[in-house]
Amino acid sequence: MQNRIPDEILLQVEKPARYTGNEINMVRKDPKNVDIRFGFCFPDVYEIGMSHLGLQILYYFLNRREDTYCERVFAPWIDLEEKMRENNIPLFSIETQQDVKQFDFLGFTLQYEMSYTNVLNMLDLAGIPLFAKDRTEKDPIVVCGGSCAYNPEPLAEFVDFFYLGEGEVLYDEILDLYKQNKNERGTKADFLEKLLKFDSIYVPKYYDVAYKENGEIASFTPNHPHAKRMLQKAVVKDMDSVYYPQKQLVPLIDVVHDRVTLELFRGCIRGCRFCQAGFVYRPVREKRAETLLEQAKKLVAASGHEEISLISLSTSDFTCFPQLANGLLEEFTKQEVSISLPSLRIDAFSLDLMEKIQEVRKSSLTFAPEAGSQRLRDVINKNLTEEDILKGCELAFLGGWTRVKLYFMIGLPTETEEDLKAIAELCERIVEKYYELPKEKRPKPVQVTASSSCFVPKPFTPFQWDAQNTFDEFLQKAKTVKKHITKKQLKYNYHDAKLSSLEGVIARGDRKIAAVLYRAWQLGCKFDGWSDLFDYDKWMQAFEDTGINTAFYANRERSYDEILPWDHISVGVSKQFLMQERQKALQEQVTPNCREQCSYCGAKCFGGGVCYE
Amino acid sequence: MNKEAKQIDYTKKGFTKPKEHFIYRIKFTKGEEVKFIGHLDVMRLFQRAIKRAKLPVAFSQGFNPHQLLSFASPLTLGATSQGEYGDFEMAEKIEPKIIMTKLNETLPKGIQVLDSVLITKKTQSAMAAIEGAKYMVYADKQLTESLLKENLEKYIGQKEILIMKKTKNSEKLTDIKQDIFAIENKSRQGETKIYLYLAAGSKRNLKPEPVIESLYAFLGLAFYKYAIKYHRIELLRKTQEGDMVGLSEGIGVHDLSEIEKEI
Ligand code: SF4
Repeated sequence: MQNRIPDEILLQVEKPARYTGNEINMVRKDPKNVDIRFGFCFPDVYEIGMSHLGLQILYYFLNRREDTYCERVFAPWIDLEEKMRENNIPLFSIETQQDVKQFDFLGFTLQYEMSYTNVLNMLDLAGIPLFAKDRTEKDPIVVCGGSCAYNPEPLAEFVDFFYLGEGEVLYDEILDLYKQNKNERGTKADFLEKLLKFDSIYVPKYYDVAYKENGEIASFTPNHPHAKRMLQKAVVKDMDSVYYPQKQLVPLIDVVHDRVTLELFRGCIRGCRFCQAGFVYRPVREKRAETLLEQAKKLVAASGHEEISLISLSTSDFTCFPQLANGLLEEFTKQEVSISLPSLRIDAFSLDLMEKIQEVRKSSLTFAPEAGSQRLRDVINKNLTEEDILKGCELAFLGGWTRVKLYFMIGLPTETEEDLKAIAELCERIVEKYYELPKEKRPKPVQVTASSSCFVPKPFTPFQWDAQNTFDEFLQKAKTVKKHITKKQLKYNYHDAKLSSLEGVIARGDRKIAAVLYRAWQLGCKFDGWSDLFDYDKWMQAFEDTGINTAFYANRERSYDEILPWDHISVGVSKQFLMQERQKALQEQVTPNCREQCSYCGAKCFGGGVCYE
Repeated sequence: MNKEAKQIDYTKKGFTKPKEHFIYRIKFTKGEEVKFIGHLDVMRLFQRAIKRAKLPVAFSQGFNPHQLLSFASPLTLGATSQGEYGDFEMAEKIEPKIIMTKLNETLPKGIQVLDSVLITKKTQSAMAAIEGAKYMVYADKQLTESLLKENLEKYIGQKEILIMKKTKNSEKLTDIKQDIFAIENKSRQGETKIYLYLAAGSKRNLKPEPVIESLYAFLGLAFYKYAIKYHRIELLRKTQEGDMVGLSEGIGVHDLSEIEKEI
């Protein structure tokens, strides 16, 4: 395969193998022999996209169809982009190295709001008009999915349709329909119209939005007789029988996560009130331990990876965890394959397990109390008590760990100065805990690092109505925490509030945000998630130029009867439930998790998972 | 995982250690398809290929065991090769050919094992053994066949060939003439090709690029670093008799049955 980019250019850019493919298990097809060419577009660099489980699954899922060739497309890093524009080289795919403009579909996965400018930039690099209305029959159909697609509105003007939910459910039907439409000489517009029969497909052009004078949405109405008033995400009911690839793309260069990934379950039983994933992926649906062991064996054999990572939102909640852990230990220790366990709660069981199966580096242990005081942890429904944390730390110290990392959020609803002070106090108590141990158990000085990120209210959470703190408030709060952190064993880091403020605007944005995105892109914004490239001033200029007020989106409390931009979408969890949860939050009441007691959130409607256990 | 396997001095290690390992020297290509991946990437790629091929590789002892692989001289990014080498330690004695066929079934395009030898004689590691390297250089359009033909003799006939050798904090004018074992015009059908045979290894090491750069300077041509392609033909070691041979030559057997013959 001839590389799309000439050697002379590749030699001058960082990590040229980002663009040349040829990985182990890369799918090779002759484009002439397929009916549908699908570009799986990841709006970030290769190393990040290749670490994304969704890409690995959908890539093989789509390619298992003989009539379809799914190829990967990544955002070229700025050094290559410059050369591409200089030399008029359009965006190309990894597999065939061909221009993506000729593809049938470009499917973008939206994992974080700060990648939206990259979506626009990739379309532009491909030579495709950015606005859906400007595209013609010759252009590919642009589809977006992924967790950010649950509020599709900020990108609605750029996208032909959004896929809401889990990809394995509907893509076969969609592609069949596309092929049929093509065979019947139907147009792209015909196809989009035919998509209206699906509950989980949102075609923005079939809906009109009207606004009130104050900027709120006055009405959101279908303008086509078949366009559904209410859309609902697509959900895999049975995780054991759903397609899961038996191989993985094994990159030839270093990427962020380079390992066998086992998806233990989807969803989360916990219902932390700030966490969007905890609501949009409901209900919890587990795989059986036998299924996972079988998948692990196949994936290790097909990849040659030396690490297996168990992926989920909260690994300790996996009901067959001991069985799985023992099975993996038995099978893989002799093969020198290590097992890593992100998202694990620290308790006696997990520490024991970590001793057994992880490369024990005793580097640092991580806790995520999210809030400093018990009061505020009750507000956010984070079921972790101070006792749990101190007990976990004690066990960790006894096990030889001397470094502890704690993650907090600042700017949570109802937060007071007391809550911020409590962050420092909790950290101090952990240090004290260490010094309560007998001297011989304290080989090294203890080090506790607290990090705080800025809370961003997200759609489909109980805090979707809440005002986000302003940039200045965040800064003030970070200073308050810092003031109280005095012990020399404590360190405090806080995240850039600028990025979170902007994320706060886009996350709950409506269609009007499109103008800002477009303007920001024109001004040169891209890779906004990369702190060295993020240019806050340009964004502020984009807001100014388009007359969009950030405070309206980020720092305003909405009333319950306001029409929210994502109200036409259901993730199963009812709006009623979210309201109820918000009221409970204000009353500092916790809600039991799905396994303790069902709270009738609405996700039972999908007919599977934990709701029927 | 990515740690470079440590260098092994086989003269010390030998075959007499209590835990017997069998060391195979592997010769392989690095083709167009993989020319932009680095030295560590090649190592990781082989570790995984060995795992997929289920070869009985030997692991280091200790907390974080890794496969005992070591590789010879790294190739510059963008260059291709038909003469790359690695030493792989196996925990079992298997037919050298099996290693070759099994790896070739699973290696990515562009990497192909050309030779596999079980080391039976005292020898240095692939890295330590190198004394010479042969290259084919594909020049850019400026350097025409005739220009090269007319001037190559003059270039190599200079009393000394001086280049600026850059070290960490200084630049030094160095004579490289004695490190050029051979330089020949191999141009064909309008493609200007230069064959280079250079000193390589830990004692004396000359990369092809500075040679071509000095040749261009000698000819008064502008040197565009990225316009020239390099292909490594072979890495060589010196035998006890003083002959230069490929790294996998004369150090062991291709077939286990040859071992008995040797004894
Ligand atoms: S319906 Fe009940 S069990 Fe099911 S996700 Fe909602 S709260 Fe959990």
